[in-house]
Amino acid sequence: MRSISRRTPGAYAEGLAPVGLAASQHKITGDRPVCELPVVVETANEAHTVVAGCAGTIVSARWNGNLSADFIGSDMTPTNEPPYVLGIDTDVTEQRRNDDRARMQSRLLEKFFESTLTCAVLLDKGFNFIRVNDAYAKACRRPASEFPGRNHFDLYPSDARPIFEEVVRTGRPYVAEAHPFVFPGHPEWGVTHWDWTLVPVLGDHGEVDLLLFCLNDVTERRRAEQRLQEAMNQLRGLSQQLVDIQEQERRRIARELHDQMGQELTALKLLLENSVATEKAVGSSRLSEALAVTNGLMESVRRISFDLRPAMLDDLGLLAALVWLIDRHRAHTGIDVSFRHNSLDQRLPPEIETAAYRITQEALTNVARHANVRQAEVAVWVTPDAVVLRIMDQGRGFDPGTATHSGSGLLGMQERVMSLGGNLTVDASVGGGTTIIAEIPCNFIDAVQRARQ
Amino acid sequence: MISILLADDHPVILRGVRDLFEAHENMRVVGQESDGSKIAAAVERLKPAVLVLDLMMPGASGVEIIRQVVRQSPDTRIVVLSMHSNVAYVREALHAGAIGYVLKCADGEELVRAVREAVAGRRYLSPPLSETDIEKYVQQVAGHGLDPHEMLTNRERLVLRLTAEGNTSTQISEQLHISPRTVESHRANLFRKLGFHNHTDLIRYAIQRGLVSPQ
Repeated sequence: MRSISRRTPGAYAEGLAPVGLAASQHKITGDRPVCELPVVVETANEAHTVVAGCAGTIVSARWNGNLSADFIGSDMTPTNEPPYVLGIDTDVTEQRRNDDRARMQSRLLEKFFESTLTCAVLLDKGFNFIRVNDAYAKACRRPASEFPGRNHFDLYPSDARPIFEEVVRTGRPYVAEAHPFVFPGHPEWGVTHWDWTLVPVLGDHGEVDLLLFCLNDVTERRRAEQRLQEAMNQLRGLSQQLVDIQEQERRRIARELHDQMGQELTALKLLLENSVATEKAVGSSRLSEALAVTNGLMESVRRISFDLRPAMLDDLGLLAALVWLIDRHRAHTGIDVSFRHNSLDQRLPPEIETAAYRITQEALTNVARHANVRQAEVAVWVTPDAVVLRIMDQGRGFDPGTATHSGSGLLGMQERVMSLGGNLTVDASVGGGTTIIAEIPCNFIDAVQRARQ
Repeated sequence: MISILLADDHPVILRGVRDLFEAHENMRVVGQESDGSKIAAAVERLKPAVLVLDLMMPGASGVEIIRQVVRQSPDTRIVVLSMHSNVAYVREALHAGAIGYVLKCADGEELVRAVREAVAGRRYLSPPLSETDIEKYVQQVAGHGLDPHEMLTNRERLVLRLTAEGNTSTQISEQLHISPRTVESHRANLFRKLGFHNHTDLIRYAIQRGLVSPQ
């Protein structure tokens, strides 16, 4: 940048010359005058005129760290006059620095482009290759020199072409995640997956000039993820199966105990009763004892059966089973559990009834074991889309961040809910009580329609 | 003479109960049935004064059988003989139209008493069952006007309020230090729980509940 100002000779001599253009006088030992000096100029044009008039030439350019000066000197004819020089100074410091920086940046970019593990490609806006880096060439298994001039979509036809066209049209970059691609002619490589970005490089007038296309091969990661997902699904399926089998087994044993053994005990009891009534003799007190034992046995069988799985869960549904569970829990633990519900007086799909029952049972067990409270609350909502359970206490609580949940059955609850596509949330804090909310999606319209068909 | 039809699928119990009734002069067992699906027809045919019914019969739900008999043969009284001492079963059976409920573990004479009471049109419940328990149970199972807002987790409540205040998922995720995807999942959950179909439903709800002011 050049500007016009009048230079003070003194300042210049001290090396503190103000930036700008000036007609100035300098004594240069052994040199000759250029023209009649001092000349004072006001404008750049004027200065040029002066310089031109002196037929001077640029004799030196000096760099002093801050100031770069173009000296316009004369043909240095000897004279008696003290030699003067007309100086036009241009501060090019910033420009120099910028040039240096630009050179450095371009060297860096070049290094980066060639050494990065990311595949990088420069395309023109017609998607022809301008250049590719080594990583790209290697990924494509072709020498980098084969690319320039060829069209990207001729070499690699892909469903991404509309996206490329969109980027050129809008000038907005595009980011793709795990985009699938099959190399033409290499079906043996299988489906590969790529994270890629397509960034438009804009020209001076804001139009898309070039495209920078950067890709990362995520095929391996993707395959690992898929394997992990499969393994997780298998595990989930397995654990669901385990839960189902356990539940079936409990149901079977509970039924067997209650119905089969229970009936037989009842029969035995009736026999004994009738015998007591008819014998009236010595044996009757023994028979009475046997009757008492039988009654006790009937009670035990009933209790064991219901602990395994209460028959009313199958016979009467979740509402009756929860009322029974809560009554029994109250009787055993002394904890006053309040129970409220909305629209639970209907039958739900059996797997949901079982899950809801077991979650409530587990959560109440936790309350009794860990919460150290006298009161708790169970609430159930049946909405058109879901069954929501909330088991809440104001007890000791725990820190969900540190609790390992081992033995608390939270993991088991989580499994049950997730296998039905729902979610389980535990809101807890130390001293702030525990609230467990389980939401199990349930499309009742579907269920009703299925039942009708 | 009281005519009785026995319905139970267990032969020993059938015999035991039959013996019990036949020890009483004014009682006569007119038939027995062990297939749940045939009981209603048997009652219609035999027109007994009392049906003594096991609640757990193969072939049909006990409660369903009661309903059917009440509908088809209203003159026959039904006394349930059940393994289940749980009040839920008692309530269901009585609700369906049974008049007596006797436990299988009860003393045999209770069944005889229950049948007599039934003929007289009076309810009989085996101890320890009681009307009070049934009343209590009926109250326990009654639905309450539960506040739907209580279904929401702390996070869902926060997301609900912040959304109603006009924040985007990204803004909410920054405030709560969670990912935008998690915010979306909280939002999907609360939409499902509260039955929202669109953003307007959410805003309306938030205003009605005073979570945000209408401006």
